[in-house]
Amino acid sequence: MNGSKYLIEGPVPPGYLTDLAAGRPEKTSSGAQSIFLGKVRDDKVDEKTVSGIEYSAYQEMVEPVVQSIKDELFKKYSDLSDVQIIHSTGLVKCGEISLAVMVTSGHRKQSFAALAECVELIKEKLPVWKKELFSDGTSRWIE
Amino acid sequence: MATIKLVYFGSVTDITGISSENVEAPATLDDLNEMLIARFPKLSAIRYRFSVNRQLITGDRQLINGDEVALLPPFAGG
Repeated sequence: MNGSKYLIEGPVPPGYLTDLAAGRPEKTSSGAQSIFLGKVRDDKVDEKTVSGIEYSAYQEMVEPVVQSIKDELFKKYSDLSDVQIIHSTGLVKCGEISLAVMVTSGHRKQSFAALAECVELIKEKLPVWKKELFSDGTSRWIE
Repeated sequence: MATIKLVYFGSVTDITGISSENVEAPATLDDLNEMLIARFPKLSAIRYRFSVNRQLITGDRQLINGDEVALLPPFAGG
């Protein structure tokens, strides 16, 4: 971890959220957990192939923004009991996970809906930037 | 003398060449923007927003000693 509990240096380990989901078995009132994993894709741009993405974040702003996203979701989805978000900083190679989101609720419908909305809110509001790195050594910012 | 901390992110850092600095505070955010564009003309060719003390700001506002002002290009998380 690098200063914020919502950021991790490098790729998110594949088992990160499943370990989290397997924890707290005593919490029996929630019947639905939905997980989204965002992975780095090997896009091709002008004959060049993306080999990875370098992420950077405004770390001090991430925490209040995540809190505002959670507040918005909890206000809208009354069945929601937990929202977990973890985003990479630094280098994440193609095929590796850069974003993991887990939403827990009493029943499946709200967990699916809140998960989709949470990912959109992260894209819109989280102060994170990415630079695509190409296999020929060049790079470009994505906006 | 009032001082503010400037923080740069994403494509803005390619233009400024640094990620943060302390500068003498201009009176307002608009004044700061003018000052930055005069110093880094390439800023006028890209899109960015300002945050002051980690809050996104739309429109102008006064700057005071100790403010942390960030230049934020469009977010691209995920």
